[in-house]
Parts: sequence; C-alpha cells; structure tokens
Amino acid sequence: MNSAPPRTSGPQPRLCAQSSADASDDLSRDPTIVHRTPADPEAVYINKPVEGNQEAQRGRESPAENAEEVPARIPSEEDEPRKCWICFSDETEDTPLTSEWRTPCPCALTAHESCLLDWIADLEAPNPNRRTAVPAKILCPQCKSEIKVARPRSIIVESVNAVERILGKAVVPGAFTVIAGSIWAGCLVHGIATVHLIFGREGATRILTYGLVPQADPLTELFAQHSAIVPRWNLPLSLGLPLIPVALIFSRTSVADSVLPLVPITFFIAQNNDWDRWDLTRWPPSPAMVIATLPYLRVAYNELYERVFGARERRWIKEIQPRSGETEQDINGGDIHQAPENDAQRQDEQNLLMEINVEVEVVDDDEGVNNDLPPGQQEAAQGPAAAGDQAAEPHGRHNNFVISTSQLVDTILGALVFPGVSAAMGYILQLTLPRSWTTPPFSGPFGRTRLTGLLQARWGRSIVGGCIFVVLKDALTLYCRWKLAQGHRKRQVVDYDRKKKKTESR
Amino acid sequence: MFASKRLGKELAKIHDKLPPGISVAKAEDLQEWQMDIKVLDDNPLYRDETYRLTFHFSSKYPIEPPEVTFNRTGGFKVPIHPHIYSNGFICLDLLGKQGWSPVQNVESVCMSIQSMLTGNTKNERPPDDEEFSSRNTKRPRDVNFYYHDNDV
Repeated sequence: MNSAPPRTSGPQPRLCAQSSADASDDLSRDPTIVHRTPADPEAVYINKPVEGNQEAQRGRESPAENAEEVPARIPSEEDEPRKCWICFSDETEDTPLTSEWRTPCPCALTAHESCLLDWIADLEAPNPNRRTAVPAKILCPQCKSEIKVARPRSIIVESVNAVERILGKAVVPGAFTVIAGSIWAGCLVHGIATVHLIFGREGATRILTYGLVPQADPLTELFAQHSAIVPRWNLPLSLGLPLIPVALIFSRTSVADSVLPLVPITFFIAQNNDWDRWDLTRWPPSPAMVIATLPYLRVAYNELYERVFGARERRWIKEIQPRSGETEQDINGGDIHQAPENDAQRQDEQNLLMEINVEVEVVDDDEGVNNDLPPGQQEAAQGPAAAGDQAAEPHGRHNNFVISTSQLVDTILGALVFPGVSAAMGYILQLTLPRSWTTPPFSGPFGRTRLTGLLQARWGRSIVGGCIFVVLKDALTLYCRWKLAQGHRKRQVVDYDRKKKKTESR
Repeated sequence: MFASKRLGKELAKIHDKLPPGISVAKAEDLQEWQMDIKVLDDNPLYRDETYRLTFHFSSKYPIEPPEVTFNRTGGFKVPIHPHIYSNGFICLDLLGKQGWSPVQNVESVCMSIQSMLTGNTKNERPPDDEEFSSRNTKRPRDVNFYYHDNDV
C-alpha cells in the first residue's frame, strides 16, 4: 500500500482537469464523464496488486470477480461483496492478512474486525474531555444499536473503573462538603473563642463541656478542660457555637432582623441546665437570659437612635456634601428614605444586601460607598454591634446600590472582632470600677456563688462593656458628624503669602 | 497506511460521481484535499457563490475526523453562517471527536456542510466570532467548540 501515492499521481492530472471543467460548466455535469471516469480509478485503486494497463487486469481477473465489482458501484444488489465501512475496502481485496469480517449490529454495516477494534480503541482512549475512562456503550453510528465487545474480564480492572466512575460523580458534592466543613470549623473555633472571651476560662469550660458524662475518660476530660475543644458530638454546642460568628455578622446588617432574636433562644433553650435556668425574677439574670435579650436590646437601641438622632445625622451629612453635586432628585430620594417606616427601610436594605453578591467582584473601593441609603440610616440599621465607621465616609451620592468589597470586609471583620472588643471593655470595667462592684460577695465554688450584680461575673462585664463600646462609638461618630457639619460653612481656602513664602492662616 | 488506503477509495469514488454542487478542486496527495461547494437553491446569502473547503487528513483518518475549514485565500470567501467563523473554522458536531464516526467521509461531510448552508437564513457570524477569529491560534481539531444550538 505504500505505493498508493505514486499511483494516484498517475491518473490525477486528467481527473483534475475534468473536475475543474465540472466546476466551470456550472454543475451541468457531462454524462460522459461518468462513463469515462470509472475505468481508471477502478483499475488503479481496487485491484491493488496489479500494475499496468486496465486491459491486462481485466484479462487476468476471473469473470465472477469482475461481475461482483460492477454491482459494488451500484449498491442495491444482493450479492455485492461486503464492504468495510471503516476502511472502505471490500471483500475482493482481502488478503490472507486481512482480519475477519464482523457484522456487530442489525443494520447493513459490516467491517473488518481490526478496523472495528481500532475505532473502538479510539472511542475508549482516555480523553481529557471525558470524565470516565470507559464510555458506557459503543453504538453503531448508523443504527445506534449497541456494539458488544467480548474481552477478557478482570474483576480488578472493572472494579477500579466502577470506583473511578463513582468518584467522578462525587467530586462536586465532595468539594462542597469540604468547603462547608471548613467554614463550619472556622465558625466553631470562632464561637469557642467568643465563649472564652466573654465568659472567661472557667465559665467557658463549663459551657463547652456541658453534656459530658462526669465519668468520661480522663483524657477527654483533660482535653476538654485545657483546650476547650468540643469533646464529643453535642448537638446544641456543635450547631450553636458556629452560629455565634454568623449571628454576629448578621447583627451588623439588617437582613436577619426578624430571625436574629430566635437564634440565641434556641441555643440556650437547648442548653437548659441549672446554671442557665430561665428565671425572670432573678437578679442578676442568668447569662442565657442576658444574651437572649441582646437582639431585642439591639432593635430597641436602633429604633431609639433613629428616632432621636436619625434626622439630625442625615442633615449633618447632607451639610458637607458638595452642593453642586446634589440635584433635586437626590434630595427627594433622600427624603423618601428618611421616611421612618421600618418596612420600607427594610425592603431597601434587603435589596442592597442582595446586591452584594452581584457587585462585590466588580466594584472598586473608590467607586462609591453604598450611598444611596443615607449613611445615618445605614448605621442605625447595623445595630449596636455595628455603628459602622464606614458611614462616616459620605463622598458623593450615587443612585445605584453598590457596596464595596472593603466595606463588606469591614463589616465582617468588625463583627468577628467584636467579642474581643467586648471582653477588653469588660476588663477595663473591672479595672476601673470600684472593687466591691466587680467582686462576688461570697467566693464559693464557681457557679454556685450567688451574684448580686451583673458586673460581678466576667460575662456580665464583657456584655456591658460591649454595649458601652457601641454607645461610645456611636456617640463619637455622631460628634464627628456634627462637628464637621458645623465647621463646614466656616471653611476657607488659605491664601499663599508671598512675603513669608508659605500659606498663612488668618 | 490505513488512511491512505481509505482515502484512495474515497478519491476513486468522488472522481467517479459526486452529488450536484460538490466538486473536487485539488486532491493530489492523501494529506490535503480541496473541495468546492455551491448552494444550489436560491438562498440569497449564498447565491452564485462557490466556496472552497480544505480537508486535512491525519494518519488516523477515518478513525479521527478530518480538519475541515473554508478557504479565505485565492479569492474565496467564507460563507456567512452562525456556525462558521470568519477565519474559516466550522462549528459542526460531526467534525468533532464526539460527533465523528468512520461512516462519515469527504463526500458526506461536504453534503452536510452544503445542507447546513442551504438551511440557513441568518445573515450572521457566531456570537463570539470577532474574539475567536482574531485570537485563535489553535488548529481546528484542538478547538473545543461549544455547540450553541441544534436548529441550524
């Protein structure tokens, strides 16, 4: 067969001339060409072992073979020679080396076994575009019925293939599980750290080891006490602790306003032991009680802040806007937002937060900081845990809801750091307040002590400290706003004094 | 060897007889052929135009599909079609590894492309034509076409 190309070159020029003539006379193909052309290619290509002129071939061929070849051109005869649909050669060209003929499917396609196996090997070859190593089925390209291949079976190879297929399907869910697990673990650690910061070491150990059987093996006990890692599967703890950072982050936004109060309750109801018993008449209240009321406190504080300072703050902010940049529409828009209806506000803020997902990747820091919402309201919405200082950047007003990445990070980081800040404030309280306020009257074994004031326990100081921090921060922010707004009208551009060669303030 | 045997057969056949509108322009060796196709009906997009296709055959033809592109040189135009890029690449599933099977041949590919043109009414290029045609440096067989739709 390696002599094929030279042979093609023989009749080629003539045929090319013919075909270009075909093209030029616009497809009205001269019927004589059909009669003329078959002779040459037939002679040259089909009877490969024979070289020489066509008369000689015809002479040498047996009449039967010759008769068979003619119907091969007109494929409707019954007894035409089988023609391989892959290599296009037919039975008449079979040599002793040619492999057997196979008809693997109901349709008329037949092929050499070796051709079929080549084709199947190509289909089964590992392909970067294909996930599993072996395609499920090999189908006849014509009739789409399955072509069965008998091959030596190996249990090991098959089971490896099966495992690969299963693993291939498990990749995406597996990745999601890993990501979710990492987030959960991170939240859990943060929750544990929070409990430690707020309740102190002993209180934390108490909470975190709750549910441990007292006779737990000493190793676990030790582990639990010294590292405060949740020692065994405990549903309220392993779900509740990771929810702490989540709740903190949400409490800086207004998305979860309606759900947030429920989170601590469910957590602490599940935690219902002696220490955390619900007793509304007891003073000081139990930690569970205090923490569960925080969301309500937050809502009340927001409301109060909005009522008392909301309008003024917005006025102050507006004061320092460049006048030229402010259109009638902007002011109107602002006024609409200033309407104190909570539902409308919440609606807006939800839109805003929906937008975070969309915008985060696109927006640069300087592209406008969430200013459609009057920043005062935004701050108010963010609750006691928030008092966002980002609200203190009222550059320019934009009408589209846009939140910057830096602001998002700021919100999340602020929320996560907040327990630490609270604990620090609690410590400052301990140092600054009179000792009699911060020491329990009777120092018995921890937890059995009857406290008479909120500040006598570390958790109480932390929580009060956190609240004080929020109030102070809000107050400071408000003061800055007010001061800026006041000073805004008195601004002057300082002249350059040529005599003294420096700018001189008057 | 495999490819040349099969291509020899096909060459004989296409010199013998081809469907209307399809003709051989150049088939001097067994690596590259050129075929001319015309759209025979009165489709205003392609009327009176002859387009030239270049077929590249690998040594594994017909197990592997040939690379088929429209010629841009020699005064030939690339027909406008939502699946044909202006660099001559054709997004046709039977030319891809998944859609190809050895029952296809040069003639059937030409007929498929011809009918693809005949059935088209949209005077447009693929949506990503500009970017793809200017940036693409790959060979047609290495491009992973995403088959946008099946209605053309």
